[in-house]
Amino acid sequence: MKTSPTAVARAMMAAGAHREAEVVLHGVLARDPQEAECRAAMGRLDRGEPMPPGPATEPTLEIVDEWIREGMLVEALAVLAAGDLGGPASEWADLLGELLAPVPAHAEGAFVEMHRQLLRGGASVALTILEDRLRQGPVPAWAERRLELLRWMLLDNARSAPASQAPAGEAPTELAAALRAGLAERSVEAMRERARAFAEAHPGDADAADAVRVLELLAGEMASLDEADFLGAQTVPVMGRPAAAMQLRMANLEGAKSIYGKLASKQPGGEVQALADAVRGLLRLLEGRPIVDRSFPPPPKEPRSLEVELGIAPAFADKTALDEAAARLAAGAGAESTKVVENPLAPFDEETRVLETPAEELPREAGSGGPARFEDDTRPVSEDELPLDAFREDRTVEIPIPQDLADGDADGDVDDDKPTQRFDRSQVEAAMAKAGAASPSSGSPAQSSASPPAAGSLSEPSAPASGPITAPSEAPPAESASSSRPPGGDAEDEAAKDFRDTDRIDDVRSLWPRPETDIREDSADDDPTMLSPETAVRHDEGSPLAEPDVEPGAELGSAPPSPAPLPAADTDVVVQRIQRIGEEEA
Amino acid sequence: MTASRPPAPGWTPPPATEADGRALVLYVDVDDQSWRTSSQRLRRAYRLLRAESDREACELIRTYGDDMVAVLLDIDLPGSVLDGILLTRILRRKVPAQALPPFARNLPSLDVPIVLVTERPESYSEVELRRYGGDRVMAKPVDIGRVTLAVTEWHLRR
Repeated sequence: MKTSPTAVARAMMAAGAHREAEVVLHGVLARDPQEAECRAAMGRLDRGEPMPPGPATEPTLEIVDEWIREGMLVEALAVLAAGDLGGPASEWADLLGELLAPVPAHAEGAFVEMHRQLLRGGASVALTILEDRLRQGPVPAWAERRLELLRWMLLDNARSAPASQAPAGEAPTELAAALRAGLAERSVEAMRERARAFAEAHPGDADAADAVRVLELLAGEMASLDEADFLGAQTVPVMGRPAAAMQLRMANLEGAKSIYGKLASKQPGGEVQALADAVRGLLRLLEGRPIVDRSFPPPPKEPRSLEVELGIAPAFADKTALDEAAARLAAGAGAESTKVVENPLAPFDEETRVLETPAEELPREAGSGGPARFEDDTRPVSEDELPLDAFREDRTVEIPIPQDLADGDADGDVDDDKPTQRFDRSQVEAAMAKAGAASPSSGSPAQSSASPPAAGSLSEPSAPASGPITAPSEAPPAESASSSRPPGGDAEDEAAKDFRDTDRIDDVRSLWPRPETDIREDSADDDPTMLSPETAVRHDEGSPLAEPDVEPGAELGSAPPSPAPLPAADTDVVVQRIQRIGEEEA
Repeated sequence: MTASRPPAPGWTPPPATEADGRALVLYVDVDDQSWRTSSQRLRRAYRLLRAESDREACELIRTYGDDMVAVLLDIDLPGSVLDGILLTRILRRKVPAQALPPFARNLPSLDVPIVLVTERPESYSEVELRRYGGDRVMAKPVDIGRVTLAVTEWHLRR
């Protein structure tokens, strides 16, 4: 069981070694800033409070040995400096002091990074950096000495340390026993040799063959990273595969599994995933379990990387049903012969053909050399074809302002307390009937729909424009709708004037022929559906509707923007519909 | 690392030279015996510059201050105007310039740990010495493990 550094620091603190105990906590936080227990203890010490209560573990040489092998060099040195533990403690303290000593002030980057890694628990990474730097060229004597010390601490001592990673108890299988014997030597290569020998002695053992393949994969990874040139690539192997390979060199399978697992979670698939699976499989073999359970047929699944590496991935069928059907068709009598495509890569490529019709035979537009167009824009247009009603001021309807809106808030907001005016369906249809019977052009949608949304009938077009006419149950009483009309007039006539046929606009929107860009490009003077400035409703300066920044449609909340003016060609359709509705009502 | 483990690689550090490349440490101490013992221990990883007086220490700081990774100051400096504590306060710029002797003026600022060494460490409060700008108090002669631990703590606290 791993010794808790906080527990050791607590015991050191109790013994009076306050500074050394703090260094232990600092060392832990340098390796893992998220370590909660140390973080809480360090926070209390920084505030001048005692450490939180908890278990205390007296420091021993065994703990120091364990920490050195795990790369916790700062914590180990702090424990050794706190008091004499006897035996080789003094020598170890000197060696750690030498190893952790700062590099010269202007040392090259590799040495600075090496020292940084040593202080942050990356001893194996620091060793890799130094080895790579040594391959680049000669290094100072002190750097060679530190490399020697690191090798001795991490590798030589690791191999001489007891094989604490082997599972406890008797080995359940002969293969597991052979692998454990290799692990006791703290060497993946030794494990591989023992696995090879076992596989040769037991040629029919599939697990032994798997073990050999897995160990060869891991040994190959170690060898390839030994030859890698990290410093030449201007990168420093802070973590990652070099660190995992270093764990493999120390035969620390759990450490390698942890690093490979983290790497594989970030980059699933590929070599790292295969290595992670290999380490996991090796640990299974050490426990006497096979890498792949062969007692059941494997379910059809996506082959994993390790299975591919091991050659046990489920293979695809040689022939599919489609292949067999094709073969039968090709061999069977009466089968329709397949047309041979000369260019199988591009069987559908089109060829450009030359028009055989002479150019002289094409109709030409008068006065030009080009071909004639289908539309003749020189044809005179009768007055009936042009929607000129909007220019007739005598037919323009002046839109009255509802009294409740005109007397609204000064800022132009619609009072939330006031219900939005809506029309009853019967009222609207009656008004449309009247309008259609009196004068089709006076209530034409081209005219009415072009009215600005800031007009007095602000709420009327907005509500029905979003869909069918409001249901009577949802609509306010008819009195409220009629109250917005000028007093003294015929209610239906006024409704016909006020009402804009936007409730039926939805029916004709599918006929909208003009793209929106054309509408934007039209000026108000050119568009016959736009109201002229003289006919636009004028508001008093005090009226809230006179505010230029106010968007009336937006003020209502639920009301969508008023529809764009209909082109003249569609007004006839709408007028005809209104007339038809009026006739039906009549 | 029990008795059955292989022995640590032996190494006799070469004599310190200008081009050695080891980390530079200023050691201010008048006591020759302490200096010999401490330097013997520290030279495995450090290149030591010795000063026997406050004036000499200021000269070395002006010359090699940029290369130093730590300063070891004896608290008692017989024969000097400044003792180790006052020199620490000067190096940490806790003394007004007009109160300094001429040789101690315009010293470069040192951003390295300052370790105060003494034969009687129990006589000094570490909290008080830290208030003056020191980082650790150690008994003479110093050893490499504790010096390195003081420098490491200084690095980890930053």
